[in-house]
Amino acid sequence: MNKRIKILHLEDLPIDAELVERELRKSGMQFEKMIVSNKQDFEKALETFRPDIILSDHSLPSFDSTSALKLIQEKKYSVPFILITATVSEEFAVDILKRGAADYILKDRLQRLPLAVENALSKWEIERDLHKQYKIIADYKYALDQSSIVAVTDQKEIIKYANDNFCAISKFSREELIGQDHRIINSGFHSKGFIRNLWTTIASGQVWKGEFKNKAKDGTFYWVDTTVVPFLNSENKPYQYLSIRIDITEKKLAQEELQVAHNKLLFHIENTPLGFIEWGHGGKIKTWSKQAELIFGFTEEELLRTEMSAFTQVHEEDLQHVMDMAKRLRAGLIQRYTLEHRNYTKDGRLIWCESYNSALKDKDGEVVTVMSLVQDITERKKSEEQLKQSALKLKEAQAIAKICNWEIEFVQNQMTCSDEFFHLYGMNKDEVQPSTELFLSCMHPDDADAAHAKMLEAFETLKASSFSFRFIRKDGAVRNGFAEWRFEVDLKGKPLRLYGILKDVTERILADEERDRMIEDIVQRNKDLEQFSYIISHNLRAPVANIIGYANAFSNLQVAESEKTELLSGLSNSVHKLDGVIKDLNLVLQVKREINEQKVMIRFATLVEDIKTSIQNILEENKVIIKTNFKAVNQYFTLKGYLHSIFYNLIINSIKYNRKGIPPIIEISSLKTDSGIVLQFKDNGLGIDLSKKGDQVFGLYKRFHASVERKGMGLFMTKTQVETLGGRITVESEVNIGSTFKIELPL
Amino acid sequence: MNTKRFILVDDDMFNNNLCKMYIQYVYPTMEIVDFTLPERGFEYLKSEFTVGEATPAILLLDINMPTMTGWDFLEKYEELDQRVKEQISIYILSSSVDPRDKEKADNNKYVKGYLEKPLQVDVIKKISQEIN
Repeated sequence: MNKRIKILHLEDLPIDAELVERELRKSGMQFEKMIVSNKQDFEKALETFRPDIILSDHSLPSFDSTSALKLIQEKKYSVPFILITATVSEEFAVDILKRGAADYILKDRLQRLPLAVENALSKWEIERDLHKQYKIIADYKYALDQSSIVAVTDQKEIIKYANDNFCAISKFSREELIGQDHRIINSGFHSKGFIRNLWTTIASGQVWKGEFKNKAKDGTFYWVDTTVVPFLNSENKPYQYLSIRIDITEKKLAQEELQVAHNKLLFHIENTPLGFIEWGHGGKIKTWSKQAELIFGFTEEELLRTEMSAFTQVHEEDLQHVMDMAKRLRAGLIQRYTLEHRNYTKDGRLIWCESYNSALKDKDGEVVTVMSLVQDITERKKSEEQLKQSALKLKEAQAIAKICNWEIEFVQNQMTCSDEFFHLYGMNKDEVQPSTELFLSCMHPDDADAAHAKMLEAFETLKASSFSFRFIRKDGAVRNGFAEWRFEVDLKGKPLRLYGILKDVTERILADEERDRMIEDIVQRNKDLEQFSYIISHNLRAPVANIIGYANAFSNLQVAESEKTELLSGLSNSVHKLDGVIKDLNLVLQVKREINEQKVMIRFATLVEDIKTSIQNILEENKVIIKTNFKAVNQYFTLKGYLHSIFYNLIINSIKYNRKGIPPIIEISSLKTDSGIVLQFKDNGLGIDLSKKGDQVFGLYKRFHASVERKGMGLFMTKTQVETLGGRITVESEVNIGSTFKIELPL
Repeated sequence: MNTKRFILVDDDMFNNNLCKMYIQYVYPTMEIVDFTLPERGFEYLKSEFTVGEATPAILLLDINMPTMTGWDFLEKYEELDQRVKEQISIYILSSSVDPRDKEKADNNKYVKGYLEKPLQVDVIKKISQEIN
């Protein structure tokens, strides 16, 4: 030993101390020695002197060796302690060694001391080293226990050790684990092959690493990252296994969730009608879903092999646009876009595609990948085109039929109508908003109230209905309309929607009116023909019959010369009569042809004055009084010749059929009605028994008075003329009181 | 029963004159009365015919007359006593060739026949014989 050993000697007897020192020197030991004799000095020396070894007498006046040893241990002062004592019992010696003393020397055997000191010091040093090693191992174990789940099993899988973490995660107490088969936490999740691999690995003395799913006491599962280290015996055979595990349950769950999410995504991608495509740089395909394959006909392998780009199959007309958009997306100018374009399939069909394209960027904003969802919209395009065509056809049909359809949706209270509506009303589609108010505002004023009432009634009853009306176009033209509508109601009877049509029926109404007029005309002509037939069989046949009679008389009867003059006179008369009838017929026929005359405004007062002037002598001779009242209407736009003739004939008629000795009074007046005007001629003449002759008053060659020299032409002519003007003539009469003729003329 | 007279009712004077001429040619002594106003003719029937004495007559009646048509006349004729009516044979004498007029005449119980103008000699003879 080169080092000087520091020896603290607890001894109250200087002689004994001297003896010890001498013995030590005798052995040649290099040392430095301090002697203390009480507790105080002892304590102090421990601090200041810091001895390498302590020698102690057993009993001192105020202190003893047992207390001293105790003090050292309390102060955790690691130093060998040798007891030097006079006498000692065997028990005491054992006891003091148990208490930590390194050795004991009897005072009468001091020659053993140097060896004892040397042994104690070297043994102490070894122990200190061991202690240090042990502490390091203990620290590792502590660290391991803190960080990991630790278990130790023997080679038969029996748990020998379980740390707190193991207990916590497995939810078993330590007592429940120790001595149990390790399979107590087996989840049954792993395959037999997996387990076999674990065992063959560790049994051969190798470390096994892997992820394990275990089952806790409550049946829940947890995942651990496991390292199994076999401990080998001297024959290199494992005699136990140390399992170090880390809880990775959360990570595993997250992974599982991620996997589920990924699977879901894959499922969606493969099961939507959308083809999923991921593009690399230059439009090279990175991902090509099954649907994409179905749409385009190319398999992923084909595309990868031939290095086809995204643009190879695009229709030439759409190519530029498709490329431009792709370039902008990749350049990061846009985030995403939707595009419709035409593509050729593998078998050469041209299909319409709609693609939703987006770029995925990293956190630096660089485009990582471009993805497209592609849908085959060929059928949709076809339908759209068909729809467009049928809408166009409907529009054309509506324009030809002059019919529009419209609807009012009650939830939003919105009215919509087809373009023909605006066309019918002569409006610009962009300038007006269709509404019921607009509809009503275009209504002809005379029809507005009725239309409004009809609509209110419809809204009250919610029944389908229709009505006819007139409307005024924007250019002021009055047109005839026809509207028809229906309600759509919900289950509670609440109206959801009102829909219907609106039709311009002007042409039809005009055609109807024209047809009615023609029918009326034909009926009239038929009547006229009957009348002519009657005239021919009576009025024309009568003079003819007479002529035949006279002619036969000349040839067959022996007529005296004196009678011949009479016969000739009768014959002549009959011939003239025949001629007159023929002329009358001609006149009647002519009246019907004279409508070509120009219409002019005729003042009634002037007309009556003209007639009075032309028949002044007749008026004077018969003392006729003509009273007029044209306050209500004083003029009428018509054919002058006709109106003159009508007035003339009625005035003459009243004069001719006057009562003997009573001067004729003729009152002529006018009235205004809804549909036109009425002219009234009232006289105080003979009157006609209408109960008998009513149906014949206006017939040709009808006379009701044998006393008057008339042929019965006047009223027939008047009626013909009134009807030609579109009017109507009626008569009220009482025998010997007078007659009133009413002429209704349209506006 | 011998026809004692012819009664003519027609507003056409010329026809009445012709008829008279023809009847007188066939029956020079025949009594003939003529009326241009049917009303007068009816008055005559009422006043001249009595219930007791039988004076058979032929009445030639026109249809188309202004104040009273032949049909009106026949309606009024209904009023007369049956025994008077039995003495009178009515014939329609018309210029009309309208079949409807003929049909209407045939349907009237007082009308014995429909004669077309002008009246012919053989027709006068025929109707005279018919009633005799």
